Amino acid sequence: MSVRLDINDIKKVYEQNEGARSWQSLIKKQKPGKPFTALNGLSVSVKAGSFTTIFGPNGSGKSTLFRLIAGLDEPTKGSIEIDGQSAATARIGFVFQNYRDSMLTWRTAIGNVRLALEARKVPPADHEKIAMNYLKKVGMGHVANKPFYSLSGGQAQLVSIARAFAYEPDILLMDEPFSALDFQTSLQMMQALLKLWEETGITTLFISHDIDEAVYLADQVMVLTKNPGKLQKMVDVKLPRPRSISMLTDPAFFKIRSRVLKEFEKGSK
Amino acid sequence: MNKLRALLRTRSFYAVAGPTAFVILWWVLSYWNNSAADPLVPKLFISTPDQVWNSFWEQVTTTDTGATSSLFEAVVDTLRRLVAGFAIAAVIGVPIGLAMGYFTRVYYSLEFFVDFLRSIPAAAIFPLFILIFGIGDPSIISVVTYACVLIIVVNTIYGVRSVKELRLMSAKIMRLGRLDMFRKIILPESLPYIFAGLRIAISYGMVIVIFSEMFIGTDSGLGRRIIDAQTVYRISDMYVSIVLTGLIGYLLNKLALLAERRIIHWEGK
Repeated sequence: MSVRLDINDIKKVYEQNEGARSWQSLIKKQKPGKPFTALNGLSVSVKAGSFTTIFGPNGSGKSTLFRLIAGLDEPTKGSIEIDGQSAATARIGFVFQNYRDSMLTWRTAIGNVRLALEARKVPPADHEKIAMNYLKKVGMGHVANKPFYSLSGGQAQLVSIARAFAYEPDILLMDEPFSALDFQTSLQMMQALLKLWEETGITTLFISHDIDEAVYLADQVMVLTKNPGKLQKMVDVKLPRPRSISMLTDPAFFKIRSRVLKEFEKGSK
Repeated sequence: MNKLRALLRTRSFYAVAGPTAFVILWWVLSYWNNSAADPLVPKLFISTPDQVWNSFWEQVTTTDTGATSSLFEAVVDTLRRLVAGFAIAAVIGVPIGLAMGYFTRVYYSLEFFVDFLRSIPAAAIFPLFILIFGIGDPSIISVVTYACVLIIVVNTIYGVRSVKELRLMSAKIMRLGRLDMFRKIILPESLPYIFAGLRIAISYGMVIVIFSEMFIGTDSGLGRRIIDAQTVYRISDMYVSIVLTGLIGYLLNKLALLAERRIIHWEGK
């Protein structure tokens, strides 16, 4: 039951004094701050069940795009559709870079996964079994009853991935989930993530700052331009699946990598 | 030798050594003062540790010391007032603090009252409470509540304010209900601050109980005993109540810390 994601000519402008509600604003007109345009004219279609990485310079509106898809902000112009419907009703899974601030440090590992089940109102009797199942899928079954704060960075991030999948989202958004981790750990994480994604077929968007990671994981790399962000180029990654680490030295991999880099440079100018 | 060195590295050694040194110092200074031909402080006002201990023993073993109630009863009276006042303050203060921390409108509506009342010392409000509640327990308990409640409110507000934006955001993306958000995220994350507030409040509450017992509040309790002993120059008796007050305060704080470490096991990890 994978879903297609359509982003139609999106523009997002942040008014600088948005949300300022002091009493002065009632009696005198405030000088508006300089509005900031994060995205301007981004159109892209993401195939159902595909893995898309987003790669672009700072200020290209990657995080803004995620906020819009997650429904935390409204686009100024344009629309986001999931299977032709408004994205507002879609279920969104989110994995943040900063797991220490996004997970419940006071719960156990399995308790954190359970939060996703509580959120989607699964009968409590099934929580233990389902949560454990997802933990095992990312290889974290053995830390299930450990307090979250006692987990290593890699373990903690795997638990947060398990939580995101346990929510059974229509779209999974991952905002640089591995950039705080060391190289070896992030390699293991990529394998665990891809395995789970291949099993579930959830349409996934993944913001990356690492070009190797971006190419390695993806079916397609969405290269964005510098601010205000729009699509520079969608680069297809026609590498066989399942991916393995040895592909990182494959000539075919390098060809795609250089194409992405070239588009990135064009978009940054 | 090595064992001695190891002992010198343990915390409990210093926890015992400090108070022991204090008692020895007290002993030496008080004997030196009281045996001098021309004492620095009049002998009558200085009790040696053994005099205080004898006085304590006498008060514990003899039922009739001329006072209206026994030492034990005084301790019970003081504790009862403290605990009652503190408990009421916690029951009122925590919900008010949570509401003020969570709802901006509640905060701005009540901010003035909290800061206004915080500027009025408990001593200034005590005469009013005596008029309203009469002499005795109700007026003492209410002044303790008054002193504690504001500390608890302010700390609870800080607790709610300390909740990480990202944690709320991820709960919001998962469409966690408002009540669940409160119960599962805001409350647990505020707990360290709430507990800090409770601990400060109970220490301050002790000050207020002793103080209000000294004046027209009552004819029982440790504060009453201190002032009674002082007016008839039973100085050793006075020291007994003073030391006992300090010990009770110390134990209460230890107890609160113990509870805190149990309940907020994740803090600082």
